[in-house]
Amino acid sequence: MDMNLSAEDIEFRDEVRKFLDENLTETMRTGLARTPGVFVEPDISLAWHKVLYKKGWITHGWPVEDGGMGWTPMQTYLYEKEVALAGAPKPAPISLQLIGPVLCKYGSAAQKERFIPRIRSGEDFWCQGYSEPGSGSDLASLSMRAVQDGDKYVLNGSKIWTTHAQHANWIFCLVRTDSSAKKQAGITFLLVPLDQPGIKVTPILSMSGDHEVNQVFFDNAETLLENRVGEEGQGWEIAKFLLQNERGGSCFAPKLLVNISKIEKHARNYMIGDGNSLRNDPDFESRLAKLKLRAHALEFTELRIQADIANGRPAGPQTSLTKLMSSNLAQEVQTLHNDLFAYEGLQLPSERPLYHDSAPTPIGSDAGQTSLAAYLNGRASTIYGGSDQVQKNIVAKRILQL
Amino acid sequence: MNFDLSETQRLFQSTTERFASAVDVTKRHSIRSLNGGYARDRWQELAELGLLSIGASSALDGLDGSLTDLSIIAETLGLNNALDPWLENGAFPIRLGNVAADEALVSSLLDGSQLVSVAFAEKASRYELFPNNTHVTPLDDGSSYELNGDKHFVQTATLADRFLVTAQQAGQFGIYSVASDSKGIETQHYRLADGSQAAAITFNQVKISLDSRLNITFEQFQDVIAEINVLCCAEMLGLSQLLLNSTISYVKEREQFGVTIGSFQTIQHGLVDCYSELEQMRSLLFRTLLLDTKTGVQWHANAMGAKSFIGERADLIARTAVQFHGAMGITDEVAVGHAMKRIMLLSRLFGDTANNLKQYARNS
Repeated sequence: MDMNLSAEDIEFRDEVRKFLDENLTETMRTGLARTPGVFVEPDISLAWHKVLYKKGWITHGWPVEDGGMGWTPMQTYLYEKEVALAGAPKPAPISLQLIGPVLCKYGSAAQKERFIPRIRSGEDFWCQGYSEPGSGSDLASLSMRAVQDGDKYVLNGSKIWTTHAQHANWIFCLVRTDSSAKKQAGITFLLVPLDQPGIKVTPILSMSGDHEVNQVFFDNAETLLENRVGEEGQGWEIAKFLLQNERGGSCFAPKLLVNISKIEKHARNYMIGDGNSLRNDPDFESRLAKLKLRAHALEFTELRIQADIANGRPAGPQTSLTKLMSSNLAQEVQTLHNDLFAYEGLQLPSERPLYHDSAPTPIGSDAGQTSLAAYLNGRASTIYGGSDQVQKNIVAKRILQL
Repeated sequence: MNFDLSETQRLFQSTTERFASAVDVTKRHSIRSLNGGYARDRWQELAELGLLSIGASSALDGLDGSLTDLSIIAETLGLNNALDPWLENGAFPIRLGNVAADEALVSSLLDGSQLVSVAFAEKASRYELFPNNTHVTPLDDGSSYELNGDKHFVQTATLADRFLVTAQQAGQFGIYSVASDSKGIETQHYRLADGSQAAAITFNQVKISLDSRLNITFEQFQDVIAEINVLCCAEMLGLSQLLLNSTISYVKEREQFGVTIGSFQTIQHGLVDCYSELEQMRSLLFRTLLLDTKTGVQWHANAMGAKSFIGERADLIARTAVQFHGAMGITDEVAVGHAMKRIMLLSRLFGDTANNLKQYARNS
């Protein structure tokens, strides 16, 4: 067991740090810092996407033959830590973390050739067609239909909670191609161009006032047969592979640790009488310390998974555990962040985006203005990608074998 | 011993219920999008129904309502997810005016002709009630003062005709009634968690007359804050009941895996926890309503203790309700999100859970 940084690791970390320092602009940093949503808007993330693409790091975690960097787990961890410290936005996670790896593993040679370069360059922007109004936790009950007609599929139904569908030009969908089969067996994975008359995207506003998710309606929409990933009926296997990527394998802890240290910094500026800052208030101090310990425990849980992957033991249902830990911890961090701002933390501007000049002047600090909306959006993290309740079922069944 | 409502109290309850239940989610959005985030005609209706008069004594032409009477209104507003600022722009200034026996102020509040916002919060003072940074100084003319200082979190300020401003004169606490269009007032309007509008206000050499000072001490101000804290508890109790009711209905309807999600033990146990908390919240509210309100610091601390207990549990119930509604719970289209946001605001009014708990620990 060791966590030692080799000379190469230190060199790598310094290279990442220097690269971030030289390339991450103030607009990008502010864009992330003043985005209360779960995802950064493409007008901020795309510029950073292009910088990373040029550097070759945009798909660092992918298989080397498809554009990955072949970094060691330590390097990946160092990279994520530097990115979090620098406050860099996360470019197109649905394209890069969800559909990209699926195409690397299950895509045909032609699909890889067509889509992968455009995902890497940022030319295509993807959204995810998984949940339906009647199928959330029970995803396999989905009912959107795709019927083969000559060289294409005709699609009817609707997808919901589709993040950034308003910006996307492609959607990947789980559809039902065989209603006579057992529910998981009749599901197929299709790639569908969004810009066509049979598709309508309608916004759903969150209680924070953010527009991140949508409902997407398919009324005789079409896609070519060649846009099917894998075979008919293989959709569920692919879906599970994707969900495991969505739930884990990532590093949430570095970002959470940065957020915790930001709270600490802000708390030093809040005087609570007797010349003491809120940072030294015993109650606040103990809440902060508890969060820090939880974040460090998460950090090493993530590192253990990374090390397992590197040693040929792929992450399975443990990703459900890190998803549970990280989403619940993130919510607690957001709660403390918001409590910190007292009355200021109750402002909830309706204008978006908040990083433009047109945004209202904050009452107090910039961080206080976005705090509540971020807290409210954060309530979704224990729901999306499989709710807490679903993750616990997975852990009970697949790890504890209950 | 009897915890049942009297006939008159049931009447207040049904009147409030009829008034508040008329606003659904769509109507709510349209009222919130009005200038000021609220409809003045609803305020007028509230006044005409007598729901404001309950807060004043008969000597001031009020209905002499008890704190329990007021809490029934607050709870019923919560239960119906009301967007009306009855608590912050009704009960709060009325109780202040009542203590100060300010006939003109109270009468204009009770008939709805004036909407008044209390400007008590200062950024630099966090939750402290004493106005450390707002000052009045007598002017040489002998008939007026000058008011200087900053306030924020002045609720419904956009629509306010007057502000009741907490300020000190050489360390002496006072509340001053100031017309909102006075010269030297600068306001920055902004939106709050519950969709209402507030303002950060700068008072810059605002000239006010000597008689604008209310006849109220800092101790009496704290008495009123204690009452409003209890009313916050009552509204949060109503909101929590609404959250539990909505969630129970939802999990009985929503089907996944071929059954209603309410058939899952994890959902059942989560809701039993909420129910159990709710019963305890109600019990502690009743206890607090029956305490002697003349014990000064001890009464203030007990009200804060109740608010800490009830606020923490209301927040837990709100989180559970949102979680069990799944992604629907995150949207602006269902009641649970609105209730969650209002609870956040109420649980932090005059001090958050931790702050109130500390006061309770020290002084109860």
